[in-house]
Formats: sequence, structure tokens, C-alpha cells
Amino acid sequence: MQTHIRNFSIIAHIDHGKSTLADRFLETTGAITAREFREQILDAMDLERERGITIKAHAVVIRYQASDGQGYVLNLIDTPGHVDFTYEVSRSLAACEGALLLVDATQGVEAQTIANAHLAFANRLRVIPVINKIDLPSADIEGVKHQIQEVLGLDVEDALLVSAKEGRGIREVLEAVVARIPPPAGDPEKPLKALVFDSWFDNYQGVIVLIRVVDGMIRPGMKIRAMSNKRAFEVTEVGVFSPKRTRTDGLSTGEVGYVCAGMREVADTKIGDTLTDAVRPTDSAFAGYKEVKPLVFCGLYSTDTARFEDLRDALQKLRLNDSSFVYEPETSLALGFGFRCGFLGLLHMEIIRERLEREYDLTLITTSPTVVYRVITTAGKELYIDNPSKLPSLSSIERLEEPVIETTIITPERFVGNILQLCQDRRGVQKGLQYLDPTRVMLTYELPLNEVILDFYDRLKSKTQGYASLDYELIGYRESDLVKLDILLNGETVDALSFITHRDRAQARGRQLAEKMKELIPKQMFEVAIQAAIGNKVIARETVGALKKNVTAKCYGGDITRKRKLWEKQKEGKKRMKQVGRVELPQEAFLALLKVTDD
Amino acid sequence: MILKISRVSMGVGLYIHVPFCRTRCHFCAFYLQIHREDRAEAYLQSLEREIHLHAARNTTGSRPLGTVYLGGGTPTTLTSEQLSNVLAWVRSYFGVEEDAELTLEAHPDTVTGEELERLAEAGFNRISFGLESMDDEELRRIGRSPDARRIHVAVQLAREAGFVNLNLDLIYGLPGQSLDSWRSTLDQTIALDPTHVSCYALTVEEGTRLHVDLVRGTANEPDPVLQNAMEDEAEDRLARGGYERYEISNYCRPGFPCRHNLRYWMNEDYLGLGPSAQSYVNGRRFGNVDDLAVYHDALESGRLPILQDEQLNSERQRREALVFGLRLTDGMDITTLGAGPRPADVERALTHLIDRGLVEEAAGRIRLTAVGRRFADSVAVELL
Repeated sequence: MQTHIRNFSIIAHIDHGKSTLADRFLETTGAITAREFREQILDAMDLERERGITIKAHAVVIRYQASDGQGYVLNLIDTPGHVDFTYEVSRSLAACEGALLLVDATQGVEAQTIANAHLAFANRLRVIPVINKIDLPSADIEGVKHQIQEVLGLDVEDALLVSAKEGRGIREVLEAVVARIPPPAGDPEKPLKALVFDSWFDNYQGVIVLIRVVDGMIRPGMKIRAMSNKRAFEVTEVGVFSPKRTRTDGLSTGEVGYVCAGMREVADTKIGDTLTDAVRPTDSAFAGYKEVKPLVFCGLYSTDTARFEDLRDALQKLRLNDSSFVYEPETSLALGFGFRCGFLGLLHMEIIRERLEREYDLTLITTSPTVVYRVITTAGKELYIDNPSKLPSLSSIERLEEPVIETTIITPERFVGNILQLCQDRRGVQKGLQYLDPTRVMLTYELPLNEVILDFYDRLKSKTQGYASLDYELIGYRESDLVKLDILLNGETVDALSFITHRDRAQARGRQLAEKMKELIPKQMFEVAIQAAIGNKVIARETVGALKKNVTAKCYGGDITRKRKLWEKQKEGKKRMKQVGRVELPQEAFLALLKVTDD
Repeated sequence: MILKISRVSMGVGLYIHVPFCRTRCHFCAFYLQIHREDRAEAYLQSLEREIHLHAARNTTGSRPLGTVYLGGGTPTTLTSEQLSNVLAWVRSYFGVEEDAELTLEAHPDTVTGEELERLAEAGFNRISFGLESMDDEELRRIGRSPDARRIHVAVQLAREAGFVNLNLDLIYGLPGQSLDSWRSTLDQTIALDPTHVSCYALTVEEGTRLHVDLVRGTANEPDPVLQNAMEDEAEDRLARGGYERYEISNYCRPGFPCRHNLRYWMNEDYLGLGPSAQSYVNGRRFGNVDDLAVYHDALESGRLPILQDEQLNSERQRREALVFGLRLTDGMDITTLGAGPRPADVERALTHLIDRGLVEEAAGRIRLTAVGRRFADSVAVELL
């Protein structure tokens, strides 16, 4: 019954206790027994568990007997918890009528809390403030309430107080979900209209799509159509996660669940797409769908050139599961055959790279990450450059533009000076500075994306002892005085190491990078000259001295035992090296750009 | 060809580690304890048990011993009577070939003429003195008694006792050592007319006093450029003195290579006894625990004190044979790598090493070039 359905999300900053709260809901309502209980069951992937973040959204149905004596179906829709996945969050929220705004009583409101709360407001969700970790001695409940009211304009009079860890206040939250979040609207008589808010690839079933039925009903055997690309499919199975996957006869208006329809890859229906009845289609798609564009690009190469095809297969398989990353073959003079890949952000890049290495047993070289630059040529053509070595010669460039983001940073007041300095160093333009309370400040900056993707987040954390939080969104392209910086090893340009930077920053970046490369390149039997150059002009030079000898003097019984172990290890290490010209480069050298620091 | 042999002997080699010294030198990372009578007695008891156990299990496959080498530590911290007993056990349990090489390592300070005579009588026919340097100041800095002249006496006593085959160990790149003082050490060593000289580049090993000094910043890492010059100097002067370089760190008068040590590089079998000693028998590498207490415990309860044990497959044996064989000046016969084509990756690595001038292949043998000798470990990593 539509009136007894509640669809909601939990929005929270990392570590504010979202997964623990979700676990408590499942326990309290008996959806899982204690024996089945695995910590943080919604984060299914190992990688997510290890990194403590949620990458893919999931949805679980909770059957709840409320204090009014009636049974309710609560659909908890989980959201990814990182700045790289904003669009996915917004689609998950679009599938809900309400959200719990979960704030850690010891930490207060963070940048991600605000960003996600704004996404909830934009989707017209009923937002219920929930203050967690009230059991901790350092909990500042009144202070946090004040922040929520001040920053988000939410009424905190009926904010809920919980300790997810200790299981306190859980029932009250569930009661509030029933009482305060409206049931889904929508017309069961209308043609099917369902919002896709997540999908993944299953080895047995093909693509599994998570949907929220907005109007009408979906049943096995039905012919449906994805409205973005007009592709048609036949529904083979529908059901819900409770949290185990459970088949149902159908999903009707307001309900949340999964659909299998013989889709072969995730790209067949992208997140935000609308599914409808192929025979009797809806007249309008669900609003807000957009093609997600990767923001960060890099080259991926196998250290073993013979494994190019294996890398292609692995990328193909991963792409089945994640349509937000893209790849196409490219060739590097230094590295041979590989792929240019695009990601939502640096974390997304690291996740994909780690999965390729771990799940497909590959050893990869990642070239310097770059954003996508816009070039207007003298001939009036517009080009998007996702590989610095493809930048046309300066004489044919009329104008160069770089992507710019708007960043929100929340920090304790005492670190504001550090952050202003950091943002200024990174060519930031201040747009706002607001005190959330006497001790916490929200800063808004416009920053070039290429100043942020590399190490901004790490720098921010180190300059604020880990206290600052950050969120950002792309706001467009802006003309900029950019140059291409090349790295030469023994006089040969290594295309995989080229990157684009602002002219004012080029000198320092070049010097830092050359220094870092010197640290990362092991001594070889010959000298290695490292140069950073803009065009023909060398702006920095470092030399890795030659190894003079590498020989075991004594090589008898005990020495043999020790050395053969050591050599074995070194041989393994060599497999992770890439030969560029005569020079052997370790994997890390290609990411040296990520490791340079300003001070 | 320098060695003129393709096999040391049909028998097996035996190494016995005597884990005692009077003091520990600053460069030494070997397993040892400071010598005490009771420790020596306990050790000899366990050693006899170990010999007995190996003989009972026929580890050496009924092959007699072609070479025996007592190293350490300082074997001559034991009395000549104790050392003669050890040799007697070895003879009775394993059997020793008639022309076997029986080497004893000795400290110039720990030998008397009488003792040396008894040792020669017992059958030891090769003696190796740890000389290290002829400069008293250099000796003092590495924790040895600053009395380089003592070696003249020791060598003379050894000769009088009947030792013809005699080695002197030298180290170059010592703290404070100059190229000139190294030349002087070399010249004085040659003047003593030994049959064999070993010249080891000083390596600062973890767990040594030198390493501690290095970490503290009171000593420097040996300068590789200086060490290379010293190596060239050694090869030159020793060649002029009639010594052939037959291995990276070893020189000998024609016909006097250390036959026991050749086993390590010629892929031949050796059994190691005593704490921390390593063995290679029938493609199996195994090693003893480097702790006297554990060594005693194991043998008292009738178990061999083996800590690690690995059977190499034939491919692995071939690769290791190649890596260690390349240390010899003559390199190795290609056919000793086994019949049939070499694995593709070894072939590729060899081609690459030859292109880079580190390895050469001629007249059916592969060997390191002069440059390759300086980078033998880099070559090993490529070929393993």
C-alpha cells in the first residue's frame, strides 16, 4: 500500500556513523539476525570496506511495525560518500521523499554534510536532523544543533539524539521516518515510469538495476525501454533486498527494488535514466538525467607490454560495472600501447587502478593525471585535450581554457589562515567566508580544477590537522595562461610525464618534480639527467649519480642463502619497473607529480 | 683457462662452522659467541651428534668428502686436540678422499708452533689466516689487535709445521684506509708468498659495530669509487706477483684455488654443520639455526637443527648455477646449464646483458666482463 511506504536516505559526512545506524535499523527490525550480522552490511565490496567509504549505492527494504500498530515498508537508500560521486548521490536522493541528516555530535557539520543536504533540498526532501555519538564525553549537542540551524536553516527543535554504537534512540528515528516523511506520490494507473539510481554487473544475471517506481508498475515479462537511448529490454526478474535478494511478483508505484532485464552492460541504462513501458510509454522522463563526464584523465599501461590485451579485457569487464569511467586505446612513445582513461575524480582513479591490479593481476603504470583543457585553435576549432602530450603547438592555439570548480571548505577557525594561504597558492578566488559558530568557518572558493586534483585534499588535511572538510562542483571553463611542462630523461622527452600547468606555477612545479624524480629513480649503471622544460627552455635539472658497483664480495654458503632471497625480492621489484629508453623507472616515478609538496 | 677443472671432486664438501672468537671484529656479521671452555665443550658434543645424525641418515649419499673446511668464527680458539678430534669424527663417519683438501681458518694471534704441528699431523693441509690489513691503525679501527707483524711469525710457524697451501684474507675500503696503504698491504702480503689471497671489498652489514657507527654518523659508508680503484690495484699487483684472479674476490698461484670454495660457484654439493651453517645437497638448500642454545636442544633430542629447507626444481638449479658460476673468471661452460635450449627469459636477459657489455659469450663459455664483475649482483637479479 502506497500510504505505508517511506523512501529515505541517510546523508552524512564520512565517519559520522551512517553505516552503523543502518546496521541498527536492520537489527532492530529483525531484518537480519545477529549471527548473519556482518559489520556494515551495506558496504559490500572489499575495497569499500577497506577504505571505509561507500562507492556504490544500495537499497534495502526494512519492514517496520510502528507504534500506531500498523506495518510500514521503509526503503533505505544508501548513498556514496565521496565528493567524486555527487551525481550518484543526487540520483539516490531523487528516489526518496525524505532524508536523515546524520551529524556527529563531536565533529559538527562538515562540508559533505552541507553539500548533500543541499542536494536533498534541491530534490525537495523532508530532512530530519539526527545527532549521533551522544554517548561520547566530547559530544556538544547544543553546539551541533546551533550549527545545523545556522548553516542549513533546519528546525532543530525536534532533532533526534542517538548513539548508533550503543543502539540508543533507534526506534525514535524509525518512528520519525514514519511520521514525518511523506508517503510517495505517483499514480498506479499511469504508464510505468521508474528512476534508475544504481546498477551493477552480476556474473550470472547480467546487469542488475536499482529503481524507484514513480508511476505505474513493473512486472517480469514486461517489455520496457530506457528513455535516454531508446533501447528496449524484457524484464526477467524483479525483487527487493531485505537485505538478501528476494524475488517479488512486481514493483508498484512508490516502491524501490531491483530489475533484471537482460542488459549486458551497465552503460545500457545509466544512473538517472528513466525506464518505461515499451508498449505504453510515459509522456515525460524523470527530470535531472545527465551524462556524467569524467573530470580526471590518465594513461594506464601494463608494465609488461605483452599484457596489453589482458588490460583491455580487464577494462572492458570493469566498465560493465561502472559506466562512469571511460577508456580508449592510446600510444605513448615512452610506454608503448595503453589506454587513456577518464574518471570522476582522483579517488575514483585510484579505486579503478587498484581493482585492475588486484582483481586482474596486472601491474600498471599510471601517467600523470590531468584535467580536460579546452583549446580554441587559430582556425577557430574547439578541442578538448585529455592528454597533455596531445596539446597542439602554441602557434596554433588562439586560446587555452581550464575547468574551474566552486569549493566549500569547513574548518575550525584557527586554521583559516593556513587555508587562505593554500587557496591563494593554488590560484583560488575567494567567494565567501562565513562563521558557522564562533569556532567554525565555511569558506567558499573558486579554484582551477588542475590545482585541486593532485594533492589539494592531502594538503588541506595536513594544514588543518585533519579537521577541514571539502566539497566541490564544476562550474565551467575559464581562459588561463597555461603551459605544457615536459620531463626529459637523458635528453629524451618522456611523453607520459608531461603535464599542463599555469605559467606562474611552472617554475616551482618543474623544480619540485625534478627533485622528486631524483628521489624516486634508483641509481643505474650510468648517470641519469632529469630535466624539466617548457618548450626548448630547461627550467630545472637534477642528476641521479651512477651506481659504481653492485657486487657481493663474499659469496659462500651463508652468503648464498641471504643473497638469493634478496635477489629474488629485487627481481620481483624489477617487474614493477618500466624501461624508458635505457632508464628503468619505478611505477611511483610516473606519479611523482602527485607526491611533490609545496613546502 | 685458469682452473683447468670442470669438477672439484666426485665427493661432497663439508663445512663446519666453529662459532667462537676471542673478540668480535667491527665488520663481522657471522654467528658467533665469545669463546669459553664450557661453551666449546658443549658445542663439540652437539657437533658430534650432528655428524652422527647426518651419517645415520646418509645425507651425503655414501659419497666420501673431497674437501673439508673449518671456518667461523675462529676455529683455532679450539685446541689442536679438539680440532683433531673433529677431523677424526669426520673421517670415521663420512670417509674422506685420499687427496682431499682440508682447510682450517686461523687467527694469527691464536696459533703456536706446537699447535700448528699437531694440526698438520692430524691431516689439515691448507691454512687460511685472517690478516685483513698490514696497517696497525686500520686493524685497531676494526677491533683487531694492532700487531700486523704477528702475521710474519704465524706464516713462518705454519710453514715450519708443514703447511704449504696457505691463504691470507684481506679487506679493502676499511675506515681510514687510503689507496697507498692498501698498496702497501698488498705488497707486504705478496712478500709473504702465500699460495692464495682473498681480497674482500668491505661491506657494512647490519648488526655489526661498523653499521652502528654508520647509523650514528661516526663512520662513513665505504667509498665505492675508492674501492673500485683498490680492486684494480689488487688485480694488478697480485698479477705481477704471480697470482691469477679466478673469482671476484679470490686470487691464487697456478694450481692453488680453494677447492672447497669452488663448490659454491660450480654448483657442487656441500654439507654445512654447526650453528648457522648452510647446505646444498642434491638440489636441496637447507640451513641450520643460528643460535647455539636451540642448536643444542635440537641435537640433544635427536633432531637435526635445520631451520629452513627448500628443494629447488631443476630449472631453478640451472639458474642459480649460472648466477654463481659467472663469478668465476673462466665463467662457465654453456653445457653445464643443461642440454637443450635455455628458457626464453634467460636467453632474453643474456642477450640484453651482452648488449650492455656486462656478460660475454665465447668458445662455449659465458662469463662476466670486467665491468660485469663490478655489477655481478645486478646481473644475478636479471638471470634468476
